[in-house]
Amino acid sequence: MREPIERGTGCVRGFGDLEAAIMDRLWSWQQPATVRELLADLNKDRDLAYTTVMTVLDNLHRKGWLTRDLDRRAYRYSPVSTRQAYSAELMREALDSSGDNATTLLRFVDAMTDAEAEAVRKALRKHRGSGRR
Amino acid sequence: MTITLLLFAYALAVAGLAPRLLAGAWTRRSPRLTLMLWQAAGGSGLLAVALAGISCVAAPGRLAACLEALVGSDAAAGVLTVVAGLLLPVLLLARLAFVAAAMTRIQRAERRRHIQLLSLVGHHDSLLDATVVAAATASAYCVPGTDRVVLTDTALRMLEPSELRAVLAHERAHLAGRHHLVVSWAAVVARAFPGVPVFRGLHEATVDLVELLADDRAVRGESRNSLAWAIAQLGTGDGPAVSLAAGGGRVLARVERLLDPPRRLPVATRAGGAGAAVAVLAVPVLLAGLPAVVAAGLAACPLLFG
Repeated sequence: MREPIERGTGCVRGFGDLEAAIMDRLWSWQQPATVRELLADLNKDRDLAYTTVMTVLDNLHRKGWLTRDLDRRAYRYSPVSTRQAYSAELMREALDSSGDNATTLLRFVDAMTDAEAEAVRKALRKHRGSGRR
Repeated sequence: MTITLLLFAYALAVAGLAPRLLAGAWTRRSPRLTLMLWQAAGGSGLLAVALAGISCVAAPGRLAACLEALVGSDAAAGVLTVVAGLLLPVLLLARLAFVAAAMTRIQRAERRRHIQLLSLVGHHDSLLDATVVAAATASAYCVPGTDRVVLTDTALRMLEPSELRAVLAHERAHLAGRHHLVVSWAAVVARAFPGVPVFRGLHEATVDLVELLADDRAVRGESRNSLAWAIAQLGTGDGPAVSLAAGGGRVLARVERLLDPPRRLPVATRAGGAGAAVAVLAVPVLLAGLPAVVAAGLAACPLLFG
């Protein structure tokens, strides 16, 4: 018999939220955790099946976000990298307006040189009625 | 043969004239028209070269005679002409397809990775309908192909509410207008044929013009001042020195355009410009088709064309 993927509500959006919640916990605990430990903590405010958490952990492992070690008969999962490292990678991509990924994202404004920034501030000051609101 | 030369001359003329003609203050008065003209110039250049190859196959004429004299055999010269003529459009298309495929692959992989990173270290703010990431740099961008607008928490702190609304409206305009498609196409052409000024110009102008389009769209609902201030705030955010002066005064021009909006070009001018864009694309097709038209006309109606 097949287990239900997720009991209760909120299953439609896929596992994205759950992945984030799991990574969150592993980063703040700063030590490897088993499916059962994560399940216990996650189920303080939701109602997940063991297999759901197991599947998501397996996905995260397959995607390369988590490593795992067999401890007695259960896997213990831990993040491959820190949250700071991922944030740094994210912002590097977000700010890099040169090279191959120049067209991957559309930025609101590229960083200006000091001279241009000064000219922009001057233009804003000079313009009548353009006080910052 | 004459047609082939004419088509090459046309491609050269377009390549030489477009960057000179599509410059100046008027281009910022109607970014959509300017964008259309740039695309027509780039497209017609490619089209003319491809058709030049085909026309030399269709009507070998003097080229075949030249080759015949060189090779010394009629049949071999004919084959050579056909091969040379067909090779041109085929290579052109193959090069474009190759670069487009490579770029699409990279973009897709990078966006997928980026979205995964966002889902892990960012959180969705349902009030803003945007993803917020904790970072020391003030930054805002959108992820094309999704409905995702991303802001750093530093940007959120720096912006006044009206400025924030303007930034969101600008990014949503990019997504709704699918601006990444035209930017990607221009990037593909520029990368496929590096060093050709008209293609480099096409790429740079496209990147610049879609920003103006998004600005114009954003200020329909938000204040020009707020958008200008938001650009100043986020463009000078003291993040890592990533600039490499890529802007080249474009950000300043954008701010000035918001503060002192130029009048839009008159309807008649815009209509004429759109007509010119169509004409620029039609000319190579007409040139290539001319012999066929004349021949068909002669056959059908000898009196008229005779």
